[in-house]
Amino acid sequence: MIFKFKIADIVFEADIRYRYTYSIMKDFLADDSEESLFAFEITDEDLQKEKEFSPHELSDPMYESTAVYRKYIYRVMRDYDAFFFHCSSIAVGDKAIMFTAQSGTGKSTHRGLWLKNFPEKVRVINDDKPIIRKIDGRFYVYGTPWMGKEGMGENIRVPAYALCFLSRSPENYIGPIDTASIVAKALNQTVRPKEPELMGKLLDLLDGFISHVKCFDLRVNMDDDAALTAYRGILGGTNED
Amino acid sequence: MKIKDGFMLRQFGDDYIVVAVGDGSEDFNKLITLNSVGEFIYTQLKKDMTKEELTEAVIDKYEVERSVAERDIDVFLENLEKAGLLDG
Repeated sequence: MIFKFKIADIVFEADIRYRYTYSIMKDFLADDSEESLFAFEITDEDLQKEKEFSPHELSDPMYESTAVYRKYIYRVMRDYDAFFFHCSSIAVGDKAIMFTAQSGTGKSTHRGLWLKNFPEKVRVINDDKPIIRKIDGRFYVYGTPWMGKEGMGENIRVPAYALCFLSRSPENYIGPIDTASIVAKALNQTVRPKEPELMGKLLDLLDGFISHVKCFDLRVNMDDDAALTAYRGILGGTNED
Repeated sequence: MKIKDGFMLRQFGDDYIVVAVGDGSEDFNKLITLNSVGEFIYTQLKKDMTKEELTEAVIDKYEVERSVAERDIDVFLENLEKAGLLDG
């Protein structure tokens, strides 16, 4: 069946067959009146490709949902200055803060400490796979249907403010980060296109993104103090303001 | 020897990175970072040349002792080789 979705303010049609895909994407359905910018279908071949990419054995409905994301990502990277960035992203007011790291480092755990310590101030944009999009020279973080294990996220857009490269440490620390390691680390958190032209485009976008946001080296343990240290380092002052 | 086809070099601030593109990118998902000397050698090796020619080019550009240039080039080439970027 064909559905019209809107992700990162980009309207498109996807021909899907599984209820699971629809169920995770239904908060991102587009209005009927909105014009679709492109369309694609998910074929058996696409499902097979996802199976090959996936490190774990999953079901066909789950492969279909990741296939939708993959097709969408390549298309929007090419034409709409948007790219996928693997991170947990939260909003504090109109500032999006992203925590990125290899899987298993504790992005969601750290995000959880922010929610626990600043429940009134923090919203989760997307806990795993947000889209970053450049519009009129500014970068925005968008929620997507792919929200990670805990399914946390919303269909919202928030201006990108800070990007934290997260690692675990007994002591909590936040500080500046060396630019060379930023690009390398950032490129490891997105999908890399094969076509040289598209790769060039992605590198331009990443370069712009990294110069646009404040980047931090964030080393944390799992105590509440981790969120307090990060908050002060990123947003400044005491956390009472 | 030369750098294989299918890699892209880009500058970010003072640093350079090399990523795979094209069909090779499925086997090569690593990423290599270079400083400006590394970038010079990498760019030289876009065309086929011998180690002697490369050494001459580095000495010419950086005005270093031959022994220093040779040592640094050996280390660099070994790394390129290990990363699978080198042909011949």
